[in-house]
Amino acid sequence: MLQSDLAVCAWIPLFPLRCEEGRRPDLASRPTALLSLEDTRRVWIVSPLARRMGVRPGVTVSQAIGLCPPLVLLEPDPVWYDEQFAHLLLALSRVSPVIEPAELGRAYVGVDGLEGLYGGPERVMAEIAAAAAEAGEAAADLVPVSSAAPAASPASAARLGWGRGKFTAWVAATRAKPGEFVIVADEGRLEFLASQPVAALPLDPDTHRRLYQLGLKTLGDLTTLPEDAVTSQFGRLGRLVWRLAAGLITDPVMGREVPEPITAALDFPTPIADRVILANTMDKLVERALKSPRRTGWRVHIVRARAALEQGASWLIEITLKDPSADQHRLAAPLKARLEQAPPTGAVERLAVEFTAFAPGTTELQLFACDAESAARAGRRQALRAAVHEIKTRLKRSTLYHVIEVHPWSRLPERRYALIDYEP
Amino acid sequence: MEGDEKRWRVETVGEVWRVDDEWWRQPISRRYVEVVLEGGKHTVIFEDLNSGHWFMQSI
Repeated sequence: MLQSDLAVCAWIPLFPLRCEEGRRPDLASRPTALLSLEDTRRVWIVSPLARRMGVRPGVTVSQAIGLCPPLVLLEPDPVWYDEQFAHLLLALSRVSPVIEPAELGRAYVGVDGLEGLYGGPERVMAEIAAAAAEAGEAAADLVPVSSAAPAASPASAARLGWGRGKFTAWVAATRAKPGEFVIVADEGRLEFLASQPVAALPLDPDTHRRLYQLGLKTLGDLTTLPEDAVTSQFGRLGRLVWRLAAGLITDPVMGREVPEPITAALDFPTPIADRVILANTMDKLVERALKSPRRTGWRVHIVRARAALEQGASWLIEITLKDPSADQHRLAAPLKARLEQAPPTGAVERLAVEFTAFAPGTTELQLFACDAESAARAGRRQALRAAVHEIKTRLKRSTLYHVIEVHPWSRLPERRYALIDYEP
Repeated sequence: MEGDEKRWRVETVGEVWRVDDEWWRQPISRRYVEVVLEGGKHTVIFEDLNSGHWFMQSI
């Protein structure tokens, strides 16, 4: 396990919303909310403009529209957010091998020893900021062609924080402005932490409220109390936050070793020259290689197909995916296309598919990928997106709407549902 | 029963109910009638008691 005590936190608040703004730049100037994944009658993430009008995460759609009539409601697209986050992780992994994704829009970069490579903390931060911006450019390339205006990438809004341990780095990132960074040097760390609001602590809203009611506004206020007293009030969690606030815990960034190449191969009893059979075999081999337990949590960046041909010749193709993927179709399709363009020069005795480079995935991705139903849902969403794009291209406008339950109890039938523009 | 350019024969009149709501802003007063049209189609029509106009809710 790779680890690093010095940490940089790269944080993009409201990441899913930023991803949507990347696809539809007009949203940036409008009050926007994403619907909840589990319950589409509630809102999940709210833009600052909508928040200013009183909309809060968790309120029902009808309440949200009541508070903010021009609110733009969007259906969440977790697979898209995940892909965008994977771009960011991949870019960060070019600066440091120690990357720890924390949640969508927040990742830690281990920076122990990087000063020797790049220079002082400012230079390292500049490298990380450049990598984040590069991820943004890569993501912008993938924005569907329907958006005419240049897309603002979510990564360009990254806030960076440098400190010893993940907590200090995270607090520093929360102090940074979008696109900027805050460095907390070791000698000023305790002073920095003491001046921070208790809201920086990883606590639930009720515990935060209790701290405020006790008159504790900053981490310094908390650490003036004896550790035992805080522990007796808040239990084990109290002890943890007291020690975090006092700077006694410097939780290291825990990276993961990139897996060794994964190979799946098949020996044909009789040499095969039929391209259809070879393409089908490629599909199966990609599927088998994806199932390797070593691949869990990683997306494939470089995939190869190689064949041993009759009379000792060989054939090799290599594809570097611009958008690393763990999707069988996305991995197999370019291999099969290349097979069509430049097939082996003889019959194939042995065909192998190899994954040779990987990009970090996220826990969210694993959640979606592990859940077959979710994966199917993601596939359907993708198909739907393509169909909607087609309709919009043909008709020059969207004629599709999403039905949202607003007042299901209303005695007036037309009040029970609302139509919102369907923008997949 | 007549629509914009269509006519339907009503076979059966089902439930009739009245809704009075939102008296605190723009009062809504409606008389709903569930009918079965020729051919067996169920629909709900209502009379806006404020304007006297009839509307078809669903078909």
